[in-house]
Amino acid sequence: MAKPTNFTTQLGAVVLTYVTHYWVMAGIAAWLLIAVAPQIFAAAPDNLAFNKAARSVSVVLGMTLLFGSILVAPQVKAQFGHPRAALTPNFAGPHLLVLAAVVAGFTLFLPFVTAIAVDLAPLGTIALAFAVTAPMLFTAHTNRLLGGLISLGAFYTTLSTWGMNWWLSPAGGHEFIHVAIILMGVALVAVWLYRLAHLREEMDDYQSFMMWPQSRKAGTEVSEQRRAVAASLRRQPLIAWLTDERLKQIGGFHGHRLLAVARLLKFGFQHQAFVQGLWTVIWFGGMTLFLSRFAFDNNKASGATFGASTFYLQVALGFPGMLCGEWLARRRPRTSAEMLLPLSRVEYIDGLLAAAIGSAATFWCVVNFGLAVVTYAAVGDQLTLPSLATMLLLTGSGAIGTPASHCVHPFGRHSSSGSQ
Amino acid sequence: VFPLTILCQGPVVVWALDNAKRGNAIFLVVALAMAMFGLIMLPIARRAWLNLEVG
Repeated sequence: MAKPTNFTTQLGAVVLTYVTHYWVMAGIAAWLLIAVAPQIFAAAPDNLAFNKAARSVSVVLGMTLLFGSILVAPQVKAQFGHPRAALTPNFAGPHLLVLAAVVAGFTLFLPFVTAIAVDLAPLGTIALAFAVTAPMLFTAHTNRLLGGLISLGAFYTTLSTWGMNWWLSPAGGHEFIHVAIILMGVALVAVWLYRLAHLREEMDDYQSFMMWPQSRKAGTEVSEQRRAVAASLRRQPLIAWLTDERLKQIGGFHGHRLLAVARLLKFGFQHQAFVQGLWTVIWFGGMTLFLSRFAFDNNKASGATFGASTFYLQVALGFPGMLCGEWLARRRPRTSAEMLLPLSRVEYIDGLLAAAIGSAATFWCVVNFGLAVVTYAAVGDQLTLPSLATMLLLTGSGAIGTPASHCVHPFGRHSSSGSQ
Repeated sequence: VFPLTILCQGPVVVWALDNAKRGNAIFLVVALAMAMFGLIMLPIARRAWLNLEVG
């Protein structure tokens, strides 16, 4: 008979699940080394002005919490959104305890140490940590946008002088509101922990959209997972409407022409390229405009405004090709079923590649149109015809070059993990 | 390869754009290299997809 495991052993086993995602660990190490360390060094010298020290908080604290929340939620979804959570004796206790410690580290310990280290208001810094973390945990858990918007809103205010003073200045005088935010954050985290402990297959948040490998997500049974995803879609009216409108256009399949086959196969991609492009434009366009108008150093002479546009430029450069590869990689598990379609293998593969390239081209057009509009709004005087042509040339060639490095080859780790 | 590409491609493009602003044609070389990489890889990827083992 198996020896019963004690609580300490269980705790150790739970901690192991957090530290054995080696690529995530490598990413965190790289992040600490490349992004956080220079900020800490920059903020460390004594007698530094408040403004200068507080700027580092956006990277050291804000970015860490944003990405930390996005990583932690799927990690625990994989633990609780699984039959073993209900079947294993004493499962919830150690798992919730470790999770509570991780969240407390994010929302209490890290901001407190940061505040003491660079002489900021501890209450305000902790309130900021809760305002960024708690809503983002909900978004990553439920896959609904609202929490993420609140979280990003709180994060972005720290990039402006007004927001930075409101949250972080020791002379701010907003202690009462900060305490209220902290209490609200604690309550939200408690609700989340309760929900996790009572997660059952019938609930539509049982699945996880963001787990590696993608195709297995939370490790639940595939048809159950599809049912849960479909149920969660019904609660998102905008996405449901967009999907319905798109699927209405499927129509019949006529003839064996490449374009007709590609058009049909395009419906098998998860998202519509045009809509996805539009989201990207809204997201990164809003961010660029915010940085160019309200962030520190927003005078055009410093070049920082143009820097904000070059961030968008890198998105316009990398995303079309990356998505092209991503769409194909996610299609890999379904290729065996789709090869039963009344098409030759050459027709099918060529159609699939054409569909991915066509979607990437649509995405590229939308994102670049947005890039031109945003750059004009941010730094109109620097947007000349030659600079626009250069941008288009670079993002266009990048869009052709990037998918080659990302998942287009079907034998990569990303795609092979999909067959089930 | 992907993280490396993204890590390198972004700064290279910003550098190329900076050169373009100063009238240098270095961005043309960068654009050509990126496009050539994709165009060379496309038939290789197509062949790999065509020989895909399913089941």
